[in-house]
Amino acid sequence: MAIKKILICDDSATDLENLKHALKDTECTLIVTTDGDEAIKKAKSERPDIIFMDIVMPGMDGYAACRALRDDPETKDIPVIFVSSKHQKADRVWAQMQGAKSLIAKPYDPDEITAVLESF
Amino acid sequence: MATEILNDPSPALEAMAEAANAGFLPDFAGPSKTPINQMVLGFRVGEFGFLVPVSLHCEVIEQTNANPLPKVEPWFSGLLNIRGNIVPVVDLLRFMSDTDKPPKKRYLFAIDRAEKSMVVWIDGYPQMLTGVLQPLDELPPLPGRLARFVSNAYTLDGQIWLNVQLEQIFKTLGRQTSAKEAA
Repeated sequence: MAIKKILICDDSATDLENLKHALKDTECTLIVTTDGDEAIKKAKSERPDIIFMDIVMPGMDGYAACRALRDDPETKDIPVIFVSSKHQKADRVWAQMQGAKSLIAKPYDPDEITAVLESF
Repeated sequence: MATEILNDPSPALEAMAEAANAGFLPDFAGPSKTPINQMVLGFRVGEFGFLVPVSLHCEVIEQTNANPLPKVEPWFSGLLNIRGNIVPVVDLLRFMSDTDKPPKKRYLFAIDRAEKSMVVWIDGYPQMLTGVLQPLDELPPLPGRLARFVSNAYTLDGQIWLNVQLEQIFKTLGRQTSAKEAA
């Protein structure tokens, strides 16, 4: 699957910049959101090919957003990749149970992001 | 700071009561005998399964212990620091049964967030229940302490899941603990 449109979601401006930096060479369209609610709305309206999402955010957090995306026929097939500092074993299992395809631990190497993209 | 908290549980107990009073667990919509045909979270404690609305923030915490407090009931395991919020940890198994032999492998499960958050010990990972939960005509036999907080029960794949007013349990526990502390 060729990834052309990527939705990124993080409440931290710094982490958003890091994600943009990691994705700058992909030539993909980036949709930037800062909480789970906004990410869900944009996922429905913009239909991204993949979502990179933080877990701990104000408003709707990444777990709840991922559950909502999985539970909606319009968005259930969009892969969600968590990018978070919560990356213990329990976090990874719980993330997978929410329907996430992967969890990238912060801080990360930009290559980890592009490697995920190449796997789709 | 940590020492102060351990020696004086009052602020945490007050926070526990306040969080409970704030009301953080919405009831499932619809009459009690209506099947639940939406994704729901479930966790198990002992022989019972508990339902949690999927909209709530929930997270599994990989930690083996809470920070214990003196002079509290056995079911009050202590406090946990979750990203700067001091959160009470409740052992529902001990609340229900007074057992002194909880399972060796348990997880801490935080429900809701920040000042509203509560943490309970659960057996295994929580589950995403995606099938249709069929209501039971009658509640199954329940421990006396738990029964009055259970509004209805459902079955899915042979397992029974309880719609428990966790908010009310925590409110009651918070009051009991505050009263004991005052005494």
